[in-house]
Amino acid sequence: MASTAKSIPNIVHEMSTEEFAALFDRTAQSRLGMSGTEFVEKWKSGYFEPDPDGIPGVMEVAFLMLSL
Amino acid sequence: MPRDNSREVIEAHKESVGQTLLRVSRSVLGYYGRGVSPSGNVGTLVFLNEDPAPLYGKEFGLFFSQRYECLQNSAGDQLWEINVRGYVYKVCQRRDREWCEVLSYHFHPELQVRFPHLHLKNGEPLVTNAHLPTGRVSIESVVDSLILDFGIKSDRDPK
Repeated sequence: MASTAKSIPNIVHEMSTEEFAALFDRTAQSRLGMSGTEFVEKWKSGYFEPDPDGIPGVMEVAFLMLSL
Repeated sequence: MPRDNSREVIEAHKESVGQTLLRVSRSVLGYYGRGVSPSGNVGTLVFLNEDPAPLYGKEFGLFFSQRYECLQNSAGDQLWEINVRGYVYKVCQRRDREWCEVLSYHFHPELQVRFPHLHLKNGEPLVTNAHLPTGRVSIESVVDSLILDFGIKSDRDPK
């Protein structure tokens, strides 16, 4: 998708690494009842296999994990 | 040498998405990007505080997350443009004080199921368990559907 450049007031809050990590952790907690660190460990171990997309909340957290 | 418009393109995309989401929610949108140069820098847009973000009218909520990169056009002017690399757009409804998923649009080729698809949460198991192919879905069209089909009203909506 192409975006054209033009001058527009900024209405988006730029997050620090710490802020994003905290958001990731909050999302993992609220969705799955686990910390972000625990989620990453479980993801890497294959805990959510064979169909993580079929488990409520997992893909929202996994998607944010990609940006860590 | 073509003018480097990468920063302007990234800022314009963030602003465009922010303005789109303002049509249905006042929740604050956050941006997180890694790296300095635009090439290879994948940015993430996500609502900051509420999960899901309540939409105007409070009956529905939206989980929004989008990853995108800024790429240089290989043809002609070689100016920079945005490529959306993935998204999760989930619509929830408030029922008995709980948020219940209604549907969600997914595109996460770096994870499992590489094609853009839709999850529906009401109906036969054959349907609710399926990854229904959609083609890439823009957040703009999702917002249009929220206004048209879900009755989300905003005094900001110019249409």
